[in-house]
Amino acid sequence: MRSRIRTLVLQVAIVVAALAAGPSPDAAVPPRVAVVVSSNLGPFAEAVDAIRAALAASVVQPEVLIFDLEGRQQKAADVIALVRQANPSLIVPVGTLATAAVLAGPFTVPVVFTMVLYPAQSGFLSHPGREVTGAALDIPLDAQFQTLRRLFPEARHIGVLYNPSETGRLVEAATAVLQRHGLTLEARQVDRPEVAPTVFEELLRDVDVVWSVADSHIFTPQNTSALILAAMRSRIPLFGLSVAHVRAGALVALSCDYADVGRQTAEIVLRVLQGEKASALPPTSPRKVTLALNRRTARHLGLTIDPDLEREAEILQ
Amino acid sequence: MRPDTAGTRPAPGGLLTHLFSGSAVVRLTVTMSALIVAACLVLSLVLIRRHLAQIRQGLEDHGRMIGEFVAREAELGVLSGDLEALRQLGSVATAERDVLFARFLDKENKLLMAVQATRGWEPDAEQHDTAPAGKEQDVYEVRAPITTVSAQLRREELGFTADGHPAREAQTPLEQVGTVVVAMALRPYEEQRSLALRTAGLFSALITLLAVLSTLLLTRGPLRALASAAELAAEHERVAELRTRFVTMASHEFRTPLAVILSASDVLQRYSARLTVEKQQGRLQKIRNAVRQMTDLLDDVLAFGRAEAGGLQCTPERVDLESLCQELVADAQVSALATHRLLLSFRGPSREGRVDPKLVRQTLRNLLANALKYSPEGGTVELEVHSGNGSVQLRVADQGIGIPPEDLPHLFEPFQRAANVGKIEGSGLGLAIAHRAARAHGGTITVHSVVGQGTTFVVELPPETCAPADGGRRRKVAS
Repeated sequence: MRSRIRTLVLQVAIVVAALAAGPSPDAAVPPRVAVVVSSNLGPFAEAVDAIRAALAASVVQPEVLIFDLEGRQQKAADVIALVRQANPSLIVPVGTLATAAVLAGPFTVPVVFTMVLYPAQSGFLSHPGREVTGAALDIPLDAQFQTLRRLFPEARHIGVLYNPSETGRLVEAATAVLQRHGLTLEARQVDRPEVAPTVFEELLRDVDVVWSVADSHIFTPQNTSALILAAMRSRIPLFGLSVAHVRAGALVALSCDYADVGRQTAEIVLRVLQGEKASALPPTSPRKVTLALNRRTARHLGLTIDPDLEREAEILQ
Repeated sequence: MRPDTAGTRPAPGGLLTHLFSGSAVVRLTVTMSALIVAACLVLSLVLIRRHLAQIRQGLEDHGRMIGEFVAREAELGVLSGDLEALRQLGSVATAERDVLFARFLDKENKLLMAVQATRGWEPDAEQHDTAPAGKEQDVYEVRAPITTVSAQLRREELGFTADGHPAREAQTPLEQVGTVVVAMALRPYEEQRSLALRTAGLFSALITLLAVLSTLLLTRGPLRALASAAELAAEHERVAELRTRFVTMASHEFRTPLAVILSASDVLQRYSARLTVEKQQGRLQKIRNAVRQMTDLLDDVLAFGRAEAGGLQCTPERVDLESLCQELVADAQVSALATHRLLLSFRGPSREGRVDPKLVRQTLRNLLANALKYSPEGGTVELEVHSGNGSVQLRVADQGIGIPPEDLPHLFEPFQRAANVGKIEGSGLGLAIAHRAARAHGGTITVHSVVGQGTTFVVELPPETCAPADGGRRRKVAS
């Protein structure tokens, strides 16, 4: 009899324990991650591939859904609606356009942006109550200006074009950093893209080197070649934004490894999926930065590049 | 046989000389035609040259425009070494009509990028400055410098214009940083040149033809008049020569028998009483022979005169050729006495023929007489007659002195005698009459002769054909 009672109690305890524990969705259904891509540009695709590969190789193995804005802001509402229907556990916007669209959407799930320049200056981190973090493309200003000093030790006047509403805070920060390096930043405002070449030509008369910020008022498809050519004609070195700029004639640029940025993003995603708060994780900077240098441009400008630096650089042309 | 041979009739008096020296109209027309042709040719060449120069200039201008455009746009690409940009620019250039390829060279003339059109030849990457060997004639290369501003001018270096604006443009020198080579296909030019030359050739040929036709048209009247005049003059000349020859022949051929008659009659008049009857008969016979000789000569002259005047009428009829020829042979035998042998033979299926007996008689009588006259004593003269299929062939062969080859061309011309006749008398009319009689019959007479061996004449009379009345006057047949 006692053994029967004991058996019954044990069975009830098991049932109660089972009921108390309830069904475990985490154990049965993998978390769903929605990746919203700004466009199908090569760097974005490179980063997305790296994210998928890293997540697939992880223990969590979340389900990854890809959404593409195709570079059109008008498509944002439709894509956001689709993302909502998918009910993801986490959203990864790739690029500035996608990040802005996602942060404007009615999501409460964590957001881990990637391939975004100047996220703080763009206001992406200032959404109260939102869990936002990510992997930025920003190469720290210090790193940029150290490279600049190594390349042009005698340069004193650094020029830059910018639009105050877009990159004003970055330029302010840069001014402070340059002052620490003993350099002066000649910053010229550009209100409309059409005036950028004219302002740039005037700027070239007063500076030793031109530094660039990723500002959509400055480096439009129409302006980029004109600005590089103007710098070339004036024999003023241009510190470009990307390898593409260097290929087109900018003297140097610091570029990052987009696949590695993707892997950085996946690492953050996994940490958030495993319970860390996104807002507690600071946005990261690229780990792998490469200096691209156009030797033909250097020859035209009459510059002699430091051999150590040349060894470190990826030489183009 | 030694036939009489006719004298050379002179050529109709330098007809071309008459044409080009006798008429100012003709000379003017020919000269004008030549000038028209020459002017057209020169004009064609000038127009072609101008047309081709325009095409070439157009091609060069097109190439230069493309080259300058590409050079302007290639500045940044060459400075930065952006090959993709240069490739795109080259693609734009080669998409243009007639552009074969575009090359971008840097300051050191090293090839940066070569872009070829999908048409045309492939540029050799190692040949930077020139088109591949053997292709130069097909390609026109335009070279345009790629320039850039040579140096930056700082504010303090800038000059200023009167209104205070920097005069940067005016002070900024250009520096060549590369070269763009644009190759234009010359195929359109070559095609145009070929077409122009063909057109000019046809045009010239047409103009020449028109000029020649115009010349012929304009000079036809004067030329005919001149030809008629020349022919008339030649005819007059011929008649005059005939007259001369006739007088010469007559004076010679009549003098001998006349002398014989005079001599024989003198003897008979003075010495008839002392002469025997036989001797008197002998003298009379000489007179008769001389008279007959003169009569024969006169007959020949009259016959030739009739032939010359177109009086030989051909009236064919069915004739017993055997009887006709036996009669002629018998007559000839009488003249030949016993010194020659005359043979008559027939071949062929028929001994009849449809011929004009008078003309045949005239022809054969002369041929037989000649054969006997120029054959040595004891020689044989053969007359062979072949009749069949309506045609008649008469062959007279002798073993006489023959005819020198140089005399053969003039054989049937009147009053001409061969060089080897010696003292044998003759009028030089026999063969001329025989020839004209055969021609009047629509037939031919041919001769084959070897000096010292003999001569053979063959008369071919076709079936029932008679030539026009004057048909035998101007034509001659000899071999």
